[in-house]
Amino acid sequence: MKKRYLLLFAVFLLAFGALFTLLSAAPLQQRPRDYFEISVVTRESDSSIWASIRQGMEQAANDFDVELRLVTLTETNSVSEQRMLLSREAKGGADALILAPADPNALEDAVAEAGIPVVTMQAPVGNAPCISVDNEAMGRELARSMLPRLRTGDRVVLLSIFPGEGAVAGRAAGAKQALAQQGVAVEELWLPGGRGAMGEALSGLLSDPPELVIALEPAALEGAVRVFQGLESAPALCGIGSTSLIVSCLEKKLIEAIAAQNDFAAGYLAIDAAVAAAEGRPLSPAEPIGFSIVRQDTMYLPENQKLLFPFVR
Amino acid sequence: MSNFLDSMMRRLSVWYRRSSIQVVISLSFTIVAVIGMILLGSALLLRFSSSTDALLAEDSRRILDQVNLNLDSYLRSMMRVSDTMYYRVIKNADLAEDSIGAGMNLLYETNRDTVVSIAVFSQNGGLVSATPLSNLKRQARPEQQEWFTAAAEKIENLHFSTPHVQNLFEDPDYLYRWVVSLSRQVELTRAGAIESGVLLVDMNFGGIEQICKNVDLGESGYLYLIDGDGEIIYHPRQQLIYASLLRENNRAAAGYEDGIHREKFGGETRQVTVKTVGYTGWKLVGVVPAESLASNHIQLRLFGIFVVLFFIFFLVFVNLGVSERIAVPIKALEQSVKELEAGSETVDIAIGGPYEVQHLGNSIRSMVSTMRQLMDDIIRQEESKRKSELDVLQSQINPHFLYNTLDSIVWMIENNRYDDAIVMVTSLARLFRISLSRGRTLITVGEELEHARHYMTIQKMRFKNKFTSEIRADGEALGCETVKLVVQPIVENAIYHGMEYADGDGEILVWAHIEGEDLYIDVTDNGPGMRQEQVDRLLREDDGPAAPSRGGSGIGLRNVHQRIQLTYGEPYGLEIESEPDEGTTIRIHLPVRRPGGDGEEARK
Repeated sequence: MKKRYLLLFAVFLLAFGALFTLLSAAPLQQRPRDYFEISVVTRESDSSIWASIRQGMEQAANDFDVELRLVTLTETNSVSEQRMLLSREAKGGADALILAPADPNALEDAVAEAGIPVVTMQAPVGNAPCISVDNEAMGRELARSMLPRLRTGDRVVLLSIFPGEGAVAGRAAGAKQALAQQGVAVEELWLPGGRGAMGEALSGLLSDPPELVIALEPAALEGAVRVFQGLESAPALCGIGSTSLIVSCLEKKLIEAIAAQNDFAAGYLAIDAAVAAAEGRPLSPAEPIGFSIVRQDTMYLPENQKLLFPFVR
Repeated sequence: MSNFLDSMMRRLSVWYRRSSIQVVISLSFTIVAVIGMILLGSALLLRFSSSTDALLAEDSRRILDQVNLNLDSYLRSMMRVSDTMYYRVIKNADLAEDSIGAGMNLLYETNRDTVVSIAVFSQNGGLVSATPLSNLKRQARPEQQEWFTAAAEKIENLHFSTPHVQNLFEDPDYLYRWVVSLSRQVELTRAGAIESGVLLVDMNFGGIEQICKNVDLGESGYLYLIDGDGEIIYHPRQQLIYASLLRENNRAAAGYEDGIHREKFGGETRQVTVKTVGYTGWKLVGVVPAESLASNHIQLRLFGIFVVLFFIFFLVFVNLGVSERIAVPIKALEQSVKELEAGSETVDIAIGGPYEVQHLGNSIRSMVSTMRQLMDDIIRQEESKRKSELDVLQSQINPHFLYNTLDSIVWMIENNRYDDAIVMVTSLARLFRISLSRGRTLITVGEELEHARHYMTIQKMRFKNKFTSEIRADGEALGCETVKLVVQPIVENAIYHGMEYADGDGEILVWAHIEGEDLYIDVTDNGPGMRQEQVDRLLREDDGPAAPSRGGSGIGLRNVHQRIQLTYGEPYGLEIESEPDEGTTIRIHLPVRRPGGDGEEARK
């Protein structure tokens, strides 16, 4: 046989051999996916409020190969700190950011200038995708659930440690809408000083206690229940949030009712949206996260158990 | 369409028939190899695919069996806790006098990794004893809980609940634990009286999770646990399902019998293996997406296709090599035979390739050799035969010549011309003696000239001296060799055609001489000569066979010419020069050879 053919044969044989070895060793192994770095900037200094959300985020991080960084503020609701953190995380190589905005309006320019995709939670900022409940509906339903115990002329205080903007503003609007039907007087009590200032302000409230206090976010609800706990003159309390303390107090009827959103789903969907944004995939408009109004007598219904007590693995 | 196919088939058939042996062998072997490999590969692939499916299914079943064993063992250990609590602690205590707390604590401490709490309730839900937490929540209503009512309904039976949040005891850390409750109705002794109660063992949900979560059902396969109603007890993504972010086909799975099933859920087909956990009625469900199974098949198929392609390539290459090894020597042999057919005498028959082709080549070479030998023999035989014929012709004595000569001798004797008669008889005798020459075909030029001289003596006496003759020869030429009886026929020709009308002035000159390597014997007469056309016709072979000339000795010029050429080759023979009215010279051209030397070869 001619040398040319032999040479050709040898080359083909070697090529086939190499391919054969590759296929035998690792047939069609999938290329390991790249990890996404996603930073989450909260609006609270206490990360325990985010426990359920965080569980959802960690589950999603595991599913989508995400390296998650949860950044809490040193001062609750600090816009300037959030600005600084947005900039720092973007420069630090994060692929996307999840932000619970302290003040949506004040942070609009910072979000636009971040240079990386930003997904917001609780309240929308500009055109950034937002994972949130329907705040107005949640406030309205919570207030509506308390209407049977209210009479015309009763006083209701809407309480929050955050200024009346963003998510809290929506909840307040919803609550007011429902309460207006009953003809009750609504007062707003904003305690931007956080829990420290809450004790004094709420104690002051007890001198002329309203019929109902509606806390519009978990920190305010926790603060209020701590103050009102054991006081005979304490007004009825309801609010938004489902932390362990809140659930425990609900069970003891220190809290009349809570509006609990599916925090686990919110966390999971926020990471999902952030990954999609980082990959440049088009985002479909997010459905509002579901919520339930839970009372002491309904808290152990199977659906509410799943909502209030996430699995801790 | 049919016509087109027919036409294509015909063209292919014609092309195939006209193709070379190498193409036919390569193509046939390759087609057979490709078809064979494809069939073999397909069969193996199908077999492997079905085996792999069976193996995977068996693997899933085996894994579920193992998980079932572990889970069963775990549940039995919980049941043992319950049994121990009941039969060793509760049964042996009178609650009016004894405390069961110590025994309960000991049991809890022994199993604290798997047990969250142990509690005993009276039949109306009152707490009898509990550990590790013992403060029942103010709002707790044990008697209303599912595990309590289920235990009360099934006396002597153990009841396993679905996972739920334990909400009985005050926890200073506000901890709410997911548990699976194992409850049973028990008989409590209080002041000697027997009353009903419920024993509750809350199992740590983590124990079940530990058993189920590390199960390997492939990259995208997983296992979940449901109760008899399809309620999820464990799922690797349980919270996602609880948060409505994921759906599971658990309700349908509750209706499956143990074994392997195929279901379509959420737009994908899945292989579902079901195994019922003894006693509890729970079901372990192993899920492997069909896509995951298919990916194994795709890998296997690609691998199979690769192997088949590799062997097809290998076989094609081997086929090419084999066909070349067979076809190339055959082609070379064919080329040799073609050259042979074209008349080439120097062709070397190509021999090579496999044994059979070598054998064929050797046979053809041997055949060609034999054929050439036979042809040479035939040529030699033909020449010999021809020479013999010519020799016979040449040796024939024209009876007319003999009759006329003897008649002349009789006439001379009758006229008392005894001396002339003696001369004529003597010449005739010498003529015959030289003609015979003891059977030799080659004689010396001297003898040949002597023969011619006697012939001319006789003819001169017969023709009454109408011509004169002269024979001249170089001394050296006389000893040279010549074919016998070549001069006499020419002289005879000169006498009969040249001297017929001579009137005493006819001349015939015979001159033997040597020029270089050639011997010439010229016979010149002064007869009427011939035109060139006549000269040209004299030696042409297609003018009929050499025949005795009319009135001559019967031996023609052509006979002489052919005999010389047969003996010495083409360059030799007769050359004729003639001019009308001038005369004719016929030159005999011979090689210079000495008797006993080269002449022997010629004689052979």
